[in-house]
Amino acid sequence: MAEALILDSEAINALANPTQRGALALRARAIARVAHERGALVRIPSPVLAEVSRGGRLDAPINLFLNRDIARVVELTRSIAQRAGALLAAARMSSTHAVDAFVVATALEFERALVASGDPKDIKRLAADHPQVSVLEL
Amino acid sequence: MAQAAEKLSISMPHKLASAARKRAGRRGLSSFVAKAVARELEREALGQFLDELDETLGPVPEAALRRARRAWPKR
Repeated sequence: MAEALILDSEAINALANPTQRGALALRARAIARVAHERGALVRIPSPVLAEVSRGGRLDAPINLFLNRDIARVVELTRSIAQRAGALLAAARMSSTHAVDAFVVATALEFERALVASGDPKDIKRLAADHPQVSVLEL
Repeated sequence: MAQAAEKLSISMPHKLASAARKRAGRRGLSSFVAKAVARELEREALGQFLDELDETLGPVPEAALRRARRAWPKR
């Protein structure tokens, strides 16, 4: 099974708008470069795509990024959804953190994964019992 | 919806073909090869995207790369 870099909303925005995101974009590019060195897949949990999509022309940079076929969107399957629920329960967190839980549950689909996040605190808490998932702040 | 499949005839070194058959099983070979090709195409596209950004915006600092390398879970 493969390794994956999982992008959260800040990471997608940084890579899709690299000229506008300064230091954040540099760090996101570094993380993506190391994923490339390792032969890791780049994946976007579908709920994260919902967070960064606003409709119409506002989505143009995101669509350009997605159309390059370098980062596939992972569908929210029944098993990922149920795993996310279990992660929330284990961490005693409410469903207001559902998107973070979907991110970690998606990461757990892979042998090893690194989550690139602009706000890693809750994701780290959800992934605490899973050493195969690391979280890196942008 | 599943995409229509196209039948290809390809050649590869005997040792590689044997290892692929052993790993995937004879019936799963097409799926195994398709996944490998998809993965390689993604990897090439990612490399090209990052090279373009390096050319237009300048290279990523080595310190940021080191930080990213340290962050991955151990193999």
